[in-house]
This record gives sequence, C-alpha cells and structure tokens, in this order.
Amino acid sequence: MNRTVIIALIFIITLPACEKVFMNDAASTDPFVNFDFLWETLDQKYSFFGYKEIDWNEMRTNYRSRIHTGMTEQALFNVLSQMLYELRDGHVNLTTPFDRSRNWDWFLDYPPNFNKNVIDRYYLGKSRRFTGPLANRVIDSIAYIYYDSFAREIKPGHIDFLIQDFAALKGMIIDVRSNGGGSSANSRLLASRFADKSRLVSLRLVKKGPAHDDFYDPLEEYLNPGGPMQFTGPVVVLMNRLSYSATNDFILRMSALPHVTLIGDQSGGGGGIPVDYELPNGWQFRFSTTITLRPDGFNVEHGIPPDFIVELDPRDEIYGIDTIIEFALDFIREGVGGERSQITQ
Amino acid sequence: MNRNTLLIILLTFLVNLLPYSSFADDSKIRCFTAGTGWAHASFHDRSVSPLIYSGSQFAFTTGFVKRAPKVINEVQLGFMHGKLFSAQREVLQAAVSNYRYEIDYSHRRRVWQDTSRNVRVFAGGSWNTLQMSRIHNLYSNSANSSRFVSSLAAQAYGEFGFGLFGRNFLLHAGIDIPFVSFAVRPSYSMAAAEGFIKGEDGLKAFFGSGKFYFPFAFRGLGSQAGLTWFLKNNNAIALEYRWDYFGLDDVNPVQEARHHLVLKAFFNF
Repeated sequence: MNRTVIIALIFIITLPACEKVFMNDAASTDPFVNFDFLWETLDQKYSFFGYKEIDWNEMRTNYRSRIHTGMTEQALFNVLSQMLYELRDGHVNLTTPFDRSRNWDWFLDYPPNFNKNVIDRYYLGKSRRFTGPLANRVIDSIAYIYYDSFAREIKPGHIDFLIQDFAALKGMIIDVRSNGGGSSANSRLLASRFADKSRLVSLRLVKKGPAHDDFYDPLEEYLNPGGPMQFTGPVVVLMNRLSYSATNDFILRMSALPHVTLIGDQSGGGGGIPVDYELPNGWQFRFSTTITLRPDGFNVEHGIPPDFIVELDPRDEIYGIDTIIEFALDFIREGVGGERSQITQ
Repeated sequence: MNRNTLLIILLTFLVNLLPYSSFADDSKIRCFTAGTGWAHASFHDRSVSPLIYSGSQFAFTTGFVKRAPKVINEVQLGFMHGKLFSAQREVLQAAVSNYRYEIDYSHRRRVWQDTSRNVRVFAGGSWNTLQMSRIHNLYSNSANSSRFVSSLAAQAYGEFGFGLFGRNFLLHAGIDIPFVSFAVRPSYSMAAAEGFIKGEDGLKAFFGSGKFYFPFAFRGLGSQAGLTWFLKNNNAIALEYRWDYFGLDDVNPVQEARHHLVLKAFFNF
C-alpha cells in the first residue's frame, strides 16, 4: 500500500484524539470557582440590578471573603444562598441535593388573605365542578372559578365550555389567590377568553449583553381575543401576595381590560422570566433575565396593586365567610363598573 | 472497550490488509444507502451549561450515492438520538435528551490515481446542515433549546481497492475542513433565538437570528474512514467511522464533537 496513503490514513484516524485539546471541561468542586461562576453569570445576565438598586460588586466583596478552600458543601451553599437572598427575587433559586435557596419575603411578610378551607367548604362545596384544573360553581347567578396553579394545563375546551355555560350570568369571579404561577401559556390562553379586542398589555425587556442595562428594545405584547367566544361582562380577579409569576402575568393581562376589576391584596410580582443554568459543581440555579413593564412603564416585578384593597377578616373566617369573595360578589351584584354580562362571538 | 482501544484495533486491521491486483473502477454506480449504528456525541455549549455533556447515541442514516469514474456525488440524511450526561451527573442526575438531524451533500472529483495500486484521490467540497434540539431534564423555561448550523467545507478523500479471500473491498478515508458556516443559536440570555425575542415569528425570526461565521470565529474539522465490501450487482456493505468537530465564538461559545460508527448497506439500482 502506498506509504503516503498509510500516513494519511493514520493521521485521519488519530485526528479525533485532538478532541480533548479543543474541549476543556469546566467541572469543578472548588468553592472559589463556583462562587465566581455564579457571581459572574448573574452579573452578566440578571435583569434587575438597576431597578432594585443592588450593588453587585459590593455583594461580591462581602460574600467572597466568606469563601475558603476546603469548606463543606453546606457551608458553600449557605454563603451562596445568602448572596442570592440579597436579590429579593422569588425567581432566584440555587438547588442542591440537600436544599434549595429562596427568598419568600414577597409573601411571608404579608397576611395570606386566603383560606382554602373556607373556599372548599362554603363556596365551592359539594356541588363544585372540575372543568380541567378550574374548580367552579355558580353563586347567586355569578360564576366563581378557582384556579390553583398555572402549572396545571388548561385546554381550550375547558375555558370555552365555561364561557358558553356562564354566558347569561351576571358576571364572573376568577380567584387566583395563592396561585404561585406556572406556565405563561396557560396564562395567555385564559386571559384571551376575556379580551374584547386586541390590547397592548405589557412591554418586555430581555437581556442582550453583559452590561446591567443592556437590553433589547422593549417587546410589545398584546392580548388578543381567543377562541370561538369571549366573556366581556363584569369580571373580578381575586389576588393576594402569593399570586406570583405566571399568575402575576395573568393579572397584568386582565388589568388591561375595561370590564375587569382587581380585588384583594397586591400580587406577589415575579415579572422576570427565569432561566436555568448550572454551576461547575453540578448545582442548578435559576434567575430572571427579563423585565416586564405595564404599558405605562410601571415595573411589575414587585406586584400589581388591586383596584380595591380588601383583606380577609379573621372574624369572618370563623363563620366560613371569605371577606374578599363577598366583596367581589357585592361588586358584581351592584353592577359597579364594567358592562353587563355579554358574549362576544 | 474505550474509544482509543477501538481506534488501535481498527488501525491494526487496516494496516495488515493485502492489496488486490484489480478493482473495477470504471463502472457508473447509483445506490441508495441505509445504515444504523452508534455515535458518541459531546457538546460544550455555554447557552446550556458550563459543563461538557456527552453520551452514546443511536444513529440512523440513509442516502444516495452516484458514482462515475471521476466523480462521486453523495447525499446523506442522518438522525441521532440519545441522552447526554456531564461529569457531575451524580449530583442532581442532570441529563440532556439530544436530537440531531442532518443532511450532507458532497461532490468529489478525482485528482490523481495509481491504477497499479488501486489508489485514487479525490478533492471537492461538501455542504453539511444539521439541526439539533436539546431538552435538559432539570430546567424549566430554558429546558428546550435548538440550534441550526449549515457549513460549506473543502474535502479531500482517498480510496484504496483491494481483495481479500476472493472478495472486493474498498478502503476509503477523507477529511473535511469547513470554511464558512451559517448558524442559528439561542440568544444571549434565553433559549429562544434572537429573532423570536424581538417579536418576529416564523422563518423571518429563524433566519433573522442567524449569523455567518468564518475561520477563527468558526472552527471545524471532520474525518472519515471506512471499509466497503462489494457484493453482487454492485451492492455493498460498509463499516464507516466519522468524526466531526465544530466550535463557534458566539455570545455563548459552543463546541461540539461526534464520533459516529455505522454499518451501512448500498443498494444499487
């Protein structure tokens, strides 16, 4: 066989061994390596440093001094989670095999304004329906719907059935209190069934570079009518501090509609879309890379204020009364604001 | 058996082959091809993770070869799927489901031959396009990500025909060096490509997200080697090994490599 051919063949077959030269694994359990990686990733991609007026360099100085070679995984986790806590963001978490960091002050610092036991026993009761994930019941010719999590999928048929079934009612109450979020797709789908026309509902800014203020131009997001019919009668959305993330997004969309009224406590916020990533030691973390604004420029990261602030009265709870639901029922009965029950086809 | 051992065994086998005095190289051949095999894929994509993910993949390939004495044209479609793991897989059992679709076209022209030794050398080019989708099992919003890469490459290719135990064999090997690439990748901070973040949709968003990469910003290399056993009626069976690597200096740098071993059948028509 020609020697040149043999040499060429050897070269071609052994070429793949160069792969390890090209690709260097960043896997490491070194505490400094993992701290630096976490800090740098957030420095480049986290979206709320400006809005929350956080001096991230100062955080690095404060917390890196607590890192030392040979520290235990638990100790490293404590330092990293304390640093992440400073971001005051429910969408920032560090997940390890033994714990998950979090900042829950956005709802733990406030009264719950929600009692599931009262709702189950005295409002939904035994005659409730489950239309997909939407527990519902008619109360005094007013539809009451409770949606506990946007992580539970709504199919178009679910909401379309309810829209048609409730067409002639005085109004609708959509209770998303203590709905911690989930899929924005479910949020968009549900809100679309209440849209009377295409409306601008939010502006979204997405990080496009490492500077803290490096964002793409604001992306306009519209709420368009969806499905074969929409409900444009009086609608009340009930909310509390645990109405977070995709629920906050749903409330934002609904707040743009003239026939919708927000009642309860301020929502929990969570206007940034979280993305997931990994540390060199295999721990997983997530953080916000976007900012969501109302069309008037209001930043919804810390929540959306209701039209009417109503809190749950503990004295009412004793008697099985949900103060917020009762306020909403009276609101619809008295016909304050919004159009009367109509179906737009 | 690790990769290096397999390479040594293959090399030893190839080096000990005996040349055959004659090889029918003047015929025109058209073949459909189909093959299945194994691949070992690796990626280091900073839009997904700082860690290298690698693992075994199932591979399937089909295509068409048209061969004349001085020209070889080949189209090949491939599919690859499997799970990839990092060196830290035991921490949280992270895994990436990898789907890879590709279409490759190559055109080679004979530039030299030695009929007494049944050796031919070809030069030409190839157009390689691949679409990769990945699903990270621990991620939520950014779990699904896709990337598209289409490259033009210069190609050198050699063949050596020989006989063994009364059968005709063809030993071939080649190298591809991409010189330009068009790639659509995840954006800086999200799994979606940039065009979709800007509010566009469809093909406009997709192609609007892409960029051209040239040498230094884009590095690629590919090699292949194979042994073909000719059957009756110009049908054949081949064992082929292919390795390819590319790297992009993107906002989130990426490097990918793949070893691919496939048993392929050629159906002449």
